[in-house]
Amino acid sequence: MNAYLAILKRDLILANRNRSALFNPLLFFALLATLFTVATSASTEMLSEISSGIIWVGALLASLLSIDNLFRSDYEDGSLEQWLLSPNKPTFMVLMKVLSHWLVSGLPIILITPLLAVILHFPMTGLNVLVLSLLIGTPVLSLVGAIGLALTLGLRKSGMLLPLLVLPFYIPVLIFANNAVLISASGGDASAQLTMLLAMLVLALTLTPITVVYCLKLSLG
Amino acid sequence: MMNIEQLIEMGGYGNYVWPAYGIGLAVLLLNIIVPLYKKQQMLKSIIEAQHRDKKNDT
Amino acid sequence: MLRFLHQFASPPTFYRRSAQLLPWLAVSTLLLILFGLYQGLWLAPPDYQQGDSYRIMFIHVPAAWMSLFIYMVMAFSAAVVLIWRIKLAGDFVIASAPVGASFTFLALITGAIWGKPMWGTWWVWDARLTSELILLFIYMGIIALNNAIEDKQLAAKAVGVFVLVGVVNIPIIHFSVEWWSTLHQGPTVTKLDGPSIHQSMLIPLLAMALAFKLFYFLVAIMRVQNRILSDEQNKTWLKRLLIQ
Repeated sequence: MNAYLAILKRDLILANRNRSALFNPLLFFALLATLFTVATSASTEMLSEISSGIIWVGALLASLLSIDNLFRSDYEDGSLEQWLLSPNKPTFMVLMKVLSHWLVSGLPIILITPLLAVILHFPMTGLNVLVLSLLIGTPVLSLVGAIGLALTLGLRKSGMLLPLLVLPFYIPVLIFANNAVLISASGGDASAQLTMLLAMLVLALTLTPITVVYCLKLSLG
Repeated sequence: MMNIEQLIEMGGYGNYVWPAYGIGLAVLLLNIIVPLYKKQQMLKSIIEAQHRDKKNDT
Repeated sequence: MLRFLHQFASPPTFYRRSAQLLPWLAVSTLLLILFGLYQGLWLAPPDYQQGDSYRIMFIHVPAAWMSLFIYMVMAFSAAVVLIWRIKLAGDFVIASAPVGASFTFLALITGAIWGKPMWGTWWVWDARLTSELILLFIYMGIIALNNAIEDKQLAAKAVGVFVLVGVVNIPIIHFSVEWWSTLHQGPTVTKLDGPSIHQSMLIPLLAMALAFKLFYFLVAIMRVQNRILSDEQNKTWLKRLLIQ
C-alpha cells in the first residue's frame, strides 16, 4: 500500500512544484466557455440551453489535452518501465496515476463549475446533477484516456491519433451526462442516467487498469 | 414491377433508390479494385526483384 | 478438426488454399447479388406504406448487419492473436477493418437517403444512428492506429486490444432501438419469435445479406494475401510459387 501511495504523493508533489500549471486546465476551461459564447453570439436563453454541453465539452477537452502528463515523463526517464518490472501490482500503479491526473485536471474543473454555470446562465436547478455527473464521468474520461495514451505512447508523431481513438468512447459518457442534466434542469428525476454513468465508472475502474498495463508493455516493447 | 419505366421511377422515389444502389455498387467495386490493384503491383515488384537478384548472381 | 484449422495458420498454406477458394467466392457472390436484386427490385411488390422507396432496405439492412458482423469477426480474430499469437489472425483483423468501415459508411449513407423521403430528414441524432456513427469512428481509429505503428507485429497486437475495447459499442448499437425510443424502426428480423416481414421481401433481404458476407470474406482474404505477399517477399515458398 505504501508503494502506491508513494506514487500518488510523488505525482502530487511534482504537480505542486509547478503550481501555476495547476491553473492551466481552469484557464483553458474558462477560455473555452468564452470561445463558445463569442463564436455563437448566443442569446441568454440559447446559452442556458447549451451551457451544460459547453461545461461538459470543456471538462472533456481539458482532460484529453492533459492526458499526456499521465505517463509521458515517466516513459521518457525510464521510471515507467521500472514500475512495471517491480514486484508491485502494476494495475494499482495505473489507478494511482490516473487518480493523480484526475485530482489535478478533473477535480479543479468540477470545483469551478458552479462559477462557470452562473456565467453561462445555466439553469441552477440542475446544478447538483451537473456536478454529480462530472464527478462520476470525468474519472471515466481519465481512465479511457489512459488506454489511448498507453497505446500511442511509443509513437513519435502520433499527433491527433490519441483523441481520434478515445473520443468515440467519450461520446456515450457525454450522452448520458447531458441527458441527466437536461432532465434535472427541467425538474425531472435523472437517477436512471446517473446510474448508467455509475455503471460506466465501475466498468472502467475494473477493466481499464489491466488493459492499460497490457498496452504499456506493448509500447515499451 | 410491370415494366422498365416503373423500375426506373420506383413509384416516384427513383431519385432516392437509384443513387443509393449506385453508392452501394461504388463501395463494392472500390473494395474489389483496390486490393486487386495492390496485388498486381506487389507481384510485379517481387518478380522484378527476383530478376534483379538473378542478374546479380550471374 | 483443430489440426485442420491450424494448417491455415501457416502463410503458404493459407495463400494456396485461399487462392483456390477465391473464384468460388467471387462467382457465388455475384450470383447471389443478381438473384437478390432480381427478387428485390423486380419481383417483390411495393410496400403499402412506403411504396417503392423501401427497396433501399435491400442494401441498407445487409450493410448494417455487415458492419456489426465484421466487427465481431475482427474481435474474435483479435482474441486469437492476443491469446494464441497466430500472426495470420492479426492480418485478418487489419484486412477486415477497411471493409467494415465501408459497410458502416454504406449503411449510414443509404439510411440517410432512405430517411429523407420517409422521415423528412437526412439525419437525426437518435440512439441507433449515433451509435452506428460511433462504430464508423472506431473503424477509422483502427485503421489510423495500424498505420501509425511501424512494427507490424506490434501493430497487430495494439489493434487487437483496441478492437476488443470497442466491442462494448456493439451491443449498444444492436439494442439501441429497444432501450431508447428512437426514430429508427425496431427489429423485424432478428426477433425471438421469428421475422415479421413478408416472405417476398425476406428472401431478397437474406440473399443480399449472404452475398455481402461472401463478399466480405472474398475481399478480406484478398487483403490478407497482399499482406502475406508483402511480409514473405524473400521466402523461398513464394519464389517457387511465382515461378509456376
